[in-house]
Amino acid sequence: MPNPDTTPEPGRLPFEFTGEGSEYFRIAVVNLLLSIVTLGIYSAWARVRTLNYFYGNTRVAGSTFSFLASPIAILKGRLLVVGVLVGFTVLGNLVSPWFLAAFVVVLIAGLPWLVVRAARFRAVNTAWRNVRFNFHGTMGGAARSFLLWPIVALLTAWILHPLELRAQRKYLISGHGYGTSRFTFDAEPGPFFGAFFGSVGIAIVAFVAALLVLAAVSLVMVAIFIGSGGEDGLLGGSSDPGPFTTVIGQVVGIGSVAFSALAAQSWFQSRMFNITYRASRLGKHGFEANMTAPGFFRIASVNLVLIVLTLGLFFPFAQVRLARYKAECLALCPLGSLDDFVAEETARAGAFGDEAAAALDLNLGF
Amino acid sequence: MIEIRGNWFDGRSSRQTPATLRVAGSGDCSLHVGDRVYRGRIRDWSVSPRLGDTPRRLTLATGEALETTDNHAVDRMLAEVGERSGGHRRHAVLHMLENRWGTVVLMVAATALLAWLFVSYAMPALSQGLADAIPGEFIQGSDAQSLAMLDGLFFEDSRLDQARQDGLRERLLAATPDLYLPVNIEFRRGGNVVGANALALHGGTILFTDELVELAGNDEQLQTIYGHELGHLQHRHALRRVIQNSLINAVLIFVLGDASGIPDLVGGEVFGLADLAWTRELEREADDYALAYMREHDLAPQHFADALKRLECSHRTEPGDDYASEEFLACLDEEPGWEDDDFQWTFYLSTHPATSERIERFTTSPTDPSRARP
Repeated sequence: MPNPDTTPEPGRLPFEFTGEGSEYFRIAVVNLLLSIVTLGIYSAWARVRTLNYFYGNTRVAGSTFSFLASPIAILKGRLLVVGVLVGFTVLGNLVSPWFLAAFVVVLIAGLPWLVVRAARFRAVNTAWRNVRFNFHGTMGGAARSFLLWPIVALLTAWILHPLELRAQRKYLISGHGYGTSRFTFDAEPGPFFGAFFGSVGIAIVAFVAALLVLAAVSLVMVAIFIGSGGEDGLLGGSSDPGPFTTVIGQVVGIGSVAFSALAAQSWFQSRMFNITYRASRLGKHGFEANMTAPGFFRIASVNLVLIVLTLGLFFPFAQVRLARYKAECLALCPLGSLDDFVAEETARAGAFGDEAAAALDLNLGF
Repeated sequence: MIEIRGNWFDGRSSRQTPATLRVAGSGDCSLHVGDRVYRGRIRDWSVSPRLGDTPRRLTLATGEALETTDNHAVDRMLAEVGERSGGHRRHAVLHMLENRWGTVVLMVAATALLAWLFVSYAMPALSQGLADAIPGEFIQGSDAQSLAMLDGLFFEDSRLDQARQDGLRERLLAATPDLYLPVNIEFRRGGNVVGANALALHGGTILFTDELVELAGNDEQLQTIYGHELGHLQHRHALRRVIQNSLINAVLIFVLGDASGIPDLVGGEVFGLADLAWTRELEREADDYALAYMREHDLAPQHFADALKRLECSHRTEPGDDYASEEFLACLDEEPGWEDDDFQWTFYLSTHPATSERIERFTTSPTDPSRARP
């Protein structure tokens, strides 16, 4: 291990992910089984173990990350979220749908609070070199970027959606701190438009291509069907092409639509990854990111196919592959020593926000 | 004496200093950071659990930490100094489970088995238990909203004349036993989507479509269908469904909270199929109730069999506007057992038990009460 006291920091320190799919698979299976056996209680511990596996295998400048949250806090948050969800669903279905409407209103009004709590919980429980991260974002900022901007985007038929993305990234990243140092985020709007509308364009082109493939396959299928003695053929009453051809048709159909979506996603994800990290700084230190759309597509498409073929068993391997690829695409560009960050006294945040965010699938990807 | 090499972090800055912890079998330990030496007892350190091959943290209560990649040395040290607290033993068991492919294969199998048991037994039982626990007063009349929604989505106002509606309603309500909530009868035009059908909502509403009323050969047939729907109501089937759907969502979030991709990929299909199988079970229960109801009200079960047959034939043929087309009448004359292989196969994917099976049951059971409740 390099000794930073004597070796000067080189100009570019790549991130590295050292986890193994086969190792994480075993951890994930144990997590799942124990979660089921304990009726979900263990899921809080499972979450801590999962995050720690990914944090502990992510290394930069010779040090890994750690996730320090208490599983008990996560369990409480999870119970609360499930209780609220079940309560409102049952009331909404059995007594009056107004309860569901009320729930949605409460949810929207509470969104800024959820965003702040979720980001804060995750940040203060993440440490690198035994110094914790923190989140200083305000509720007002969260309301602006997660309530106001989506409304603006909606009113402009998503033309301004890239500005919404930019506002949210800016809010989340510049709200974060490491020790007493702060992150900053400085990005031009242009690349966000490129990321979003590029992916829309790819989606359209890929979808048309998928339809053409589908049409071609259908023609071939019809030809095979007629050729193989479908004597009633197109004119007679029986138009059932048989289960085998139907299945092939469905696989090709679903597959081509899935791959067009994945192509658009690959463009969007890789652009956003690069924009986000390149625009971020921690104090005077910068980041370098060079993810490519084909690179992301390669990883994600293999993941998708293998997850489907293995009925989900490949899922842990897929997570590891993606984490490894993301780490490969990222580097820290330090300006000066990384030894001088000073820890901050922080209050712990409750788990409710974090779990609520997880349960409602708020994407706070950072 | 065991040596653990790693990096020392004081918790106040991000400075990283190589350090060595030497632990003796007695539990005494010494930490060497640069040329300084700190002495203490190993029990004052908390050791993070083994997790794959991720680095371990040995932390002091004051916040300083030694981080090491030498998992082997840490495990040996814990074994040697007899650090056998409950926590460490639990974590050792976890790591053992996670580390052996043999146990992992068993656990995959166990997970699949448990998931299946859960979906096909635990979930229905739990939902039924909850549904039975809800008092009738709490939900009676709560159908107004569901009905408004169904009206918006599928139904049009009934085109049956008022006298027909009132007469039928009176006849059916007069033949209604005491249930756990009052029954309310509604008529609607089903249109192309719903067609001839009857349904029981959870708050006590039983709805007939015009098409079903027109299809039925006589009012006795309608009354036997009413008995079937009463069965759904009395067994609280709609309620059970609502609860089960809420529960499934809650459970997926709770148990699979950190594997959120899996339920999307496989969960949906599995739950969907289980739901269908379970729905057939509900239909059988409602049929049982209907048989008992018919005996109570001196209705020949043949009426129900006839109604089912007419329903089936209306789907298989072009029945004509007044259910008098030749094709339809010919279908009615066919013996049960006409279903071809295709139909048998779709039975597994259909919500109702095979119709021929049901027709047969109601055709053969009238005189023998022992067959009425299997």
